[in-house]
Amino acid sequence: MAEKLLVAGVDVGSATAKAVVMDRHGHVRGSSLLPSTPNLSAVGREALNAALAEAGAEAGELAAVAGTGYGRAALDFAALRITEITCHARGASVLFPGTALVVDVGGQDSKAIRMGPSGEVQDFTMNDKCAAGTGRFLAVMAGILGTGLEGLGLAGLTARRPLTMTSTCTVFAESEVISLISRGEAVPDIAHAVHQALAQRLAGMVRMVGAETPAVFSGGGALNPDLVDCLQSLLGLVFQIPERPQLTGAIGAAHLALRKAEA
Amino acid sequence: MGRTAYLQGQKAAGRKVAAVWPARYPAELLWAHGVCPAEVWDPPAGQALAGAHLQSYVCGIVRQGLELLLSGGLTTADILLFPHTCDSIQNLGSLVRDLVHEPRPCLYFYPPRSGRSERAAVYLEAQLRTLSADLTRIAGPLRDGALEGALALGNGRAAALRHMYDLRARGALDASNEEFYGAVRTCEYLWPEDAVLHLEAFMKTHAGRPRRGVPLVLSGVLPAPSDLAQRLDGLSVAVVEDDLLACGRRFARALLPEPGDPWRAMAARLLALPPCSTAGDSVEDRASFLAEQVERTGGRGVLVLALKFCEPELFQIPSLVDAMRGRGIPVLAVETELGNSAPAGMMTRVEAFLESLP
Amino acid sequence: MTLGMELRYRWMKDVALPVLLKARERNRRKGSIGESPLGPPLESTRSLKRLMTRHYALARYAEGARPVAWVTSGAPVELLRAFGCYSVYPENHAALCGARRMGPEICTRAEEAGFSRDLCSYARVDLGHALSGLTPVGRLPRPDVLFCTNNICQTILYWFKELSHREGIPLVLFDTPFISVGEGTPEVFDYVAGQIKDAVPALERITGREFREDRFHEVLRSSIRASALWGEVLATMRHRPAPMTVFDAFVHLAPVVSLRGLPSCERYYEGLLAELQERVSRDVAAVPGERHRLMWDNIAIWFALAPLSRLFAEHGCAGVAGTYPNAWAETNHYLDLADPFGSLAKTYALIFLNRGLDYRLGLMEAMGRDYQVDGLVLHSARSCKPYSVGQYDLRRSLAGRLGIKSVVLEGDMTDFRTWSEEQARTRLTAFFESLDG
Repeated sequence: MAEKLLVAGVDVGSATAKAVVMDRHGHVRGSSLLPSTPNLSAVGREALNAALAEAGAEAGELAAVAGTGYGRAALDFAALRITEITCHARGASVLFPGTALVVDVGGQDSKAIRMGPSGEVQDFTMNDKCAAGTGRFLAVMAGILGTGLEGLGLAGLTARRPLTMTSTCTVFAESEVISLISRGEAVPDIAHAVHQALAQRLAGMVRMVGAETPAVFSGGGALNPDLVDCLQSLLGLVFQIPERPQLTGAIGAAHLALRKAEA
Repeated sequence: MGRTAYLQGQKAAGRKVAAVWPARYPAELLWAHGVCPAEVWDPPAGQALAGAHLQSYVCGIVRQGLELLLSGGLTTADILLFPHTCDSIQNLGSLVRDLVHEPRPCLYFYPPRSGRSERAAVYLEAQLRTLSADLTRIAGPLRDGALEGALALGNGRAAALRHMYDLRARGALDASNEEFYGAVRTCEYLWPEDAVLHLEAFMKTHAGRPRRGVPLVLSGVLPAPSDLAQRLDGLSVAVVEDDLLACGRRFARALLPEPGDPWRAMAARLLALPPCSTAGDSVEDRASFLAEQVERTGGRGVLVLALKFCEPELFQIPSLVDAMRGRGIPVLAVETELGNSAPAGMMTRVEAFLESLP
Repeated sequence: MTLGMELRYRWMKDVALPVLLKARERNRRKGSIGESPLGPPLESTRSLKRLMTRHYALARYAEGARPVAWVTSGAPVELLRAFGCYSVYPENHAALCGARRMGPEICTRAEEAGFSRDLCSYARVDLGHALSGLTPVGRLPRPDVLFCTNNICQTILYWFKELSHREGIPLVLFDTPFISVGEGTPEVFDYVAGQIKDAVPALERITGREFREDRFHEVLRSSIRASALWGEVLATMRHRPAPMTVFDAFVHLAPVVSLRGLPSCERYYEGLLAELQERVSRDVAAVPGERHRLMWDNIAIWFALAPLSRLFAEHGCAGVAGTYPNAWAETNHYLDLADPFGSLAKTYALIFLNRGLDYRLGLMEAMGRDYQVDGLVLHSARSCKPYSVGQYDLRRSLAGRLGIKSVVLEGDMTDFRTWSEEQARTRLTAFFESLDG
């Protein structure tokens, strides 16, 4: 096999498109992260090209490309199409060998995945359609509170007064947040309550598959320190967080492409 | 004294404690066996533990009750009793025993749905005897006269509640909605004699001129969200009656003649409770009961608190609303969730409803 | 019931409809199926369509000619048949509306009348139909009686009470106490049997017809046989490769639900069973290259039946067992002509949905072994609390007992507004990926 062998993983989600170019040793040589567009195939290719550029390589050099994420079916240039469940599990165990649990909070979906000793998926669960359990939910709340998505996580960390939110659906949660605002509650306290509510839903999902360690938190949600804190204390465990948590699925996809190229 | 401290006191006095899920069950039988029921309606609880067992479309009463159980909030209970109130509580009761493997005894009670018939009474009586056999194993046998004594306790508590509801309806109680429902809901865990003492003391303290406000009749499951009663106080609403499942739908509105046999009497008492969606009663009976409340108390309208995901109630609400309107009674139904705060949108609708009253 | 109505009904049943339906079929038998990962379709499907189309078409002419009853899926219909009632199953009708993707449209009509979107979608379809007349089958006949048993859920009781209230139609109810623990007590069976006995004079009054015991026995015999045949049909899926799938079972269960006790129902299953046995003898696979054998829990997702069936097959997965289709083969062996009322009480009070989850777990475990299942797909139906609440723990327990993996699909029987096609596909594909290891 050529020493120069390169593969790629492309993860097209509802909010962002990610791509990773990987060499035969499993090292990431280039990556990208772009906002998603309705043209899934085009944004997937764009992400791949950006990752290739960073790696200083060209599309012709790729021995295999694996597509994943909600837009995977549209990625006509990918020889392999694998669900984000399998890819997140793989990505997490590539980054942190021995990982037994992955929690992923993406834009459209959140999931909890339990893995076996060699990183294979043993059980998983995802949020249901109407539940307030996703990154989108955080974006909506950040919009109402006017903090921006990044500010929401930081605001929550400075909460002083515990508030409770109990709503199980986004519509109710929205009106609950509006009520808290109109009652004059402080933004950090509300932000923390939002994270606590989401963390409770995530904890339920984790317990459904079994709370095991070592555990990894992936996806954009992992960038929210208050959310991670809330979930850690609810579950009584500590998450490892990838340097760029949104890339976990693309890394897993690239790794699966590598396995295929080597086969 | 808090609820947990009180129940610990009951145990210290030699009684057993039963955690009881909603809604209608033979409390007298438990008392007769020296068991103090402590009801689990809307405990403050998160959902991190229950979420692993229940889908997000399951009602708050079931979710929060399970959360409380799993988080160790029911350690004072010696027994768990699940009345068969709806499909969700049915499965909760089964889940707790069969799949979560709760080590304490789980007991079940099925209120018949076949109307208030002789067959229902016979079946109820048989069931009460079976339940009593179970309780005997856990809490010891019935002493002589225990059933008659418990029936008398039940009458005493119902009489105190009737008195208190009556004072409120006649405008002879100086109590806010929040205070009133706080007092009524102590019946969910107080031993009946203590409950009567508590209610009587409450009536004494709050005797006097009524709060002025718009007289409304409440319907639904619970005076919830928990700050709802307080919010209604803020809007100058004076609740004058209710057919809330947790409150006014759980005691007979008149002292009825009963069969001499205590088992039959206990069955008859359950069948004499006000009309209820969970008992399979018709919406017409329910509407007549509410309309009578409105007329007797001079209520200016009915506020229906529809609890999200509560099937028995949600099925009846459209026809109940129609039936009220058909009788010329203003009515508003709002969807509520258990939890800490009544949402602003809901309160706006209530305010607009009050403004629209003739 | 006039003689004219009666003659019109008989003419439609015996002469006109058979001719019309044959003609319609001839017109439709065009166009190829295209490339499919599935094995050859069942020949019997054609007779099934004929049978069910005739049932719905004839229903229109039954009004006025026969007493019409609207019946719940778990009700002792045998008693009604002894009065010659024409039976319509709102649940079956709702499933049909679901399969034709009319769920949300009809549900909306009920929601506009104030029924919450959180209520059972079968009920919303039925109430929406009552309010708007919307249906894919032309028209349902107005019932003379509502015939309801709450052994499947309490929902059905609230729903039928509501129909009764709105339409002013008498309701005959059989209250079957939930059996949380054990096998049921004599008190329970006496209570239920007593109600069934009480229904006899009530039905005599409502239908204006006399109860005929000989006819009743004949119907019971036929019902026992139909259920036994249905049990044998399902049992053919124990064979590797399975000659049909659970998705086929969902389609072919319509007669045993809604025509049980009628000769046409028996005849239908005789034919289906013969076809399946012949397939078994030749090892004809419903899913060519069958690699995994799966159990389906809960009612079908009617609007997605075909795509799901295809997706399973694309991954070499055959659904070979289902708790739901099995329900109509589960308890009919209790029926006993020597004690018709007592045995009807047992038959209908002991169905798995009326028993504790421990019983259901045992049932699923046994099915898992009998059908050599290596995976479990649970449809968490938002509409159906008694079926769905507890599924998360059932799957955990079954994983331990059978050592199988499972996946939960959040869905509904008819209301696809709560369904995410994309997410379901992802969940299933990931599950299939994990089965392949």
